[in-house]
Amino acid sequence: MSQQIWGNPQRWDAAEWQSEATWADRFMYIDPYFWSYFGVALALATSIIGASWGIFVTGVSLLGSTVKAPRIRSKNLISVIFCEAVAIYGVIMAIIMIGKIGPIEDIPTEQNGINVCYTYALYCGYSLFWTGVSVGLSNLICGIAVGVTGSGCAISDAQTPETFVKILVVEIFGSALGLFGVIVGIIQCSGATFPKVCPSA
Amino acid sequence: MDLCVFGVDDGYAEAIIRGLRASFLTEAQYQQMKNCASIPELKSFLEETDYQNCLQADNPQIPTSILRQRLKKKLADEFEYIEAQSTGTLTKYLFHLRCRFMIDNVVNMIEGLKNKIDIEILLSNIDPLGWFPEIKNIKVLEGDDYSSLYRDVLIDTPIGVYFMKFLEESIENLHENRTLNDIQNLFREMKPEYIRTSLKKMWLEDFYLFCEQELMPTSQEALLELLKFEADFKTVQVIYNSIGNRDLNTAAKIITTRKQLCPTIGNLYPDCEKLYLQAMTLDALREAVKGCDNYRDLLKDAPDPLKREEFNVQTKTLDDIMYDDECRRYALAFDGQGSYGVFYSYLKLKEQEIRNIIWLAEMISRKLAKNHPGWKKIIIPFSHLGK
Repeated sequence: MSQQIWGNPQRWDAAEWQSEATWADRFMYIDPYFWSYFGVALALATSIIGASWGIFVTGVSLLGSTVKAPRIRSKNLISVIFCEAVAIYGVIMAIIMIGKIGPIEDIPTEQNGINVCYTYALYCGYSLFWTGVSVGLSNLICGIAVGVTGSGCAISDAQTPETFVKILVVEIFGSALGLFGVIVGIIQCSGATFPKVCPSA
Repeated sequence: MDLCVFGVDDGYAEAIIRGLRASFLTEAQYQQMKNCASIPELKSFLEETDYQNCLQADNPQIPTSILRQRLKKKLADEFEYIEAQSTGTLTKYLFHLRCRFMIDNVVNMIEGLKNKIDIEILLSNIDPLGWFPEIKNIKVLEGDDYSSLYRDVLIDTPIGVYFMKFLEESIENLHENRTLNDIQNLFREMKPEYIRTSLKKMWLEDFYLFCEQELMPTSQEALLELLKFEADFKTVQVIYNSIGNRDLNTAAKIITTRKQLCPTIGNLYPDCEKLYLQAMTLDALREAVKGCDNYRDLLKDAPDPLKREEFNVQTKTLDDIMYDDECRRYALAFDGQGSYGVFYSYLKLKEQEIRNIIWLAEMISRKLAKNHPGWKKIIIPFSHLGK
């Protein structure tokens, strides 16, 4: 325990930690860097799951309806592009979030200073984690929505050409959902940079 | 949720059907077909539609039966392609759809064998949609031994299970001291229509069970309704056709026949069962089905079966009314995304289109006058949706 950067090495020692630490303590001392990188992974990975789900659902319908109605080929690639945009939102957010993570160089030695430093780091860590969740989940559902609508767009275009533009409007509204997630995410993680030097008490 | 994962396995097959939607003939094209003066003209018109490739090899004066075979072969090839591209539940489902045609083929073959028609001719006339490898094994052994035909050959076919159920039911209805001779006579004298209707009823019930157990909710929504409606149609047709039928002279015989031929699924069963089993006139039938709105309206215009001799070309028979309504429903079921109903509707509507083309071909080859009411007897798929 004394090798931990965080926490107070004088306050806990190994035996005491085993016997007296509560669940709340254990939760408190999960490393903020764990939270922040987990947030980055969530933002990226779940956005990409949503986008790829959308692409495979759309792609299958596009392939099938092009067999008998080749005219729809080029127009309906827009649906695939909308799904791809969702993945790009995830990448952008992940890059922004990684830029906010960095090691703290100068950790003070007395208890007060450590507590302040730890609180600040925890603020950044939680902020980045929940940014990841909000961006990731909204992009996941957005990708699925755009994908299913895109598949409907392809097959209805093959059947009745006039419906293409109308269904595209539905898709645009669908992809706005992912944009909402990105906007809120950017605001959420805007102040959450890990400090290079610990702020004084 | 099944909309999200439908595309994984079945999206390609559904999308192909949507593309094939454009291959249906429109009302304008039907008008042009009606204006054709002869069969070669009709053939060259058809070659400009989606049917182009299947008619190229034949000579212009193509007989109607060959025309029908070619059109059906095209449909069978398309269906085979879709079946080949499908996996899992969809393959089973499509195979089940084809069993209906297999029943037709086998019953036709057995009838043909009874009348001593050459087996080669029978094999060339089978419906290509209902082709299965064991169909070549159907031939009668010496001594007109139909029961061994049923027992040994038919049980290996995919529809063997329906034949077995049918045999069990028929044998039950015989009196107690039945002998082997009785059984032989039963099979020999059984009317093919009776066998066909019974088997199709069993197929429908089996198919309904399959749909209920194995399909996703989106597909069930469309399909169970369609199948219930089809079952109700069959019920009404059976009752209608048995009113005033000279072969069924006792009341008990009427009721057992009806019970054997009416499906046990659908909106009319079991609520109206007692009423319709005993209906002996058209009005009694109308009374029996009055609980269900749609059927009451349909039967309102139906002609009276007791006056069957007065039917002419102009009367709109019950079959016509029902086909009309069925086509409307199939066209509606076609428009659901992520549902298996689209395959069923496609099959039925394409069949209807082939029937229309053959009907027009017959009218043209008989050179009937243009004001003959028979020209109006075709039902155009998707015409109700204003396309």
